[in-house]
Amino acid sequence: MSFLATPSYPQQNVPGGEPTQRHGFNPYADNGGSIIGIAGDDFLIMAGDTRHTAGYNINSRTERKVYRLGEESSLVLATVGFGADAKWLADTMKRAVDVCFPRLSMMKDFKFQHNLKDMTVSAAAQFLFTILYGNRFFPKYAYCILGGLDKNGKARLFSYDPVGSYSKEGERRAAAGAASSLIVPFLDNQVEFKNQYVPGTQGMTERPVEYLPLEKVEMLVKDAFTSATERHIEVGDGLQMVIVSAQHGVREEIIELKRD
Amino acid sequence: MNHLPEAWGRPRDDIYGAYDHQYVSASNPNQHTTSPVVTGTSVVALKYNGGVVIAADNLASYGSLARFTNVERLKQVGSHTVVGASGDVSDMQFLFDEQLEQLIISEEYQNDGHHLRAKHIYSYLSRVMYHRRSKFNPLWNVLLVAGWDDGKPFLASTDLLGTTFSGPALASGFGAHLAIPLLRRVCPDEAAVANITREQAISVIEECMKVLFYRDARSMNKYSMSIISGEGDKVEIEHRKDIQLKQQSWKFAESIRGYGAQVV
Repeated sequence: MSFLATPSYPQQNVPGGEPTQRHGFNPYADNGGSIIGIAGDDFLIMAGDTRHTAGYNINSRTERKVYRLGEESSLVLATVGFGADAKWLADTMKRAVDVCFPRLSMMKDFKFQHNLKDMTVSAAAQFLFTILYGNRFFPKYAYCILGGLDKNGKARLFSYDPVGSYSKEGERRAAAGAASSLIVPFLDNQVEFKNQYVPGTQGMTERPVEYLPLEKVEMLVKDAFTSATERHIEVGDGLQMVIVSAQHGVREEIIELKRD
Repeated sequence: MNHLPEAWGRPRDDIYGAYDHQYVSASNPNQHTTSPVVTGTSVVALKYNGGVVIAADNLASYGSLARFTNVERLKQVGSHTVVGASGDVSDMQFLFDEQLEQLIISEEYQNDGHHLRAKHIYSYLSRVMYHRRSKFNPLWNVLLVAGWDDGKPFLASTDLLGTTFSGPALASGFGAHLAIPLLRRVCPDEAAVANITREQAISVIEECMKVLFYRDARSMNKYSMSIISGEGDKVEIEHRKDIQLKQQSWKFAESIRGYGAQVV
């Protein structure tokens, strides 16, 4: 949450002109919370806590940050940052991906325009970039993680900054939000095996990266959030997990986190 | 392109002549609401097992001046919903008397047997709030929407930024600090709503209004309360107006410096 926290310069007044006045209105807020996405080979888990904050206040203990984009779709979007922008992004993505009004042909939704085909993950990823960058000069202040299964049933995961930067190759894990600085190094170590070496090689051979099984990933997500809850005041209350699997479809789970 | 940022996107001087700075004048920008003027303080609301109780006092302050003492900050919208507003009173009146009134007229005019329920009103209001903040011309309010929706109590909040959230117990303004702890004591989560009776909910809200009057300098001892109760598709809304705070005890004030009991 730093790109608006740039140093403020004193107001420059035009010589001879009226003194300039600042808008006293800040259109952004930070509603706290954190999100995670981890991709396995043929499954992915998207998770977020359910606390919604304003400063030291807890607005709600049950606000979800992870959205399924359509009931049939494997696409899942998690957004965090400024709650109103985050919700707007989720709504916009849902409207684009999901077929909303099959009988109203003037509704130019994706399925109608594409012979009732579902949007692919990579297309949704590029679309989300377009939306975010389209708001480049009044950014939607929310960090996004988008995930889904491609047509071969392989998991894809993309993460974005508020103006849309993302990697087309996708990534194996992503974290964003208030406690991302606590969670990212944990995932570096546990998912990408950073700073892990093959035993007996005197720290010369790095442990090779491999896909993790679903049970292991689920444990990592829970560990990440229980730990973040301990150390970050804006994270807690509940953990919403959406598990997308090529074999078992989509499952959603909410478990409790500490409410203090 | 000119490398000076202030020249970006402007017509070239060598073709169109010098730029007329009156077009986009940074020296006197449009004035929108940049701070509220006449304000209402907290709104508090709590779900119970057959509906929602919502309350707000009748004061409109002008800064620290208690300017108007007979202002209604709760509005019934349609047959299922009550909206409570804190923040700028003129923005509240615009929403209540212009927007929501017109919304209900145009919806009821269809006469098709459909009525806007709480979540529809809420969706409308939150979109209006977000739209106005995106135009840099916000409606300076926090709105609580209470109602009966689909056989269940409904309670949600939206504010000048269009931020939205819901919960079994909500309070705006000073109430977010003082009333929320009291409300969450009886209603920590959604599951607890089933064990709260109408009478209990009313008495907890009354207690909150009293505590707010003790400590919030922009509050008063007269308030309105609406009780939305439902059963299945049936909704009944009871409005209680001009409620006087009961059973005040100022004993605690004696021991607090600054409350007037001490001479030095």
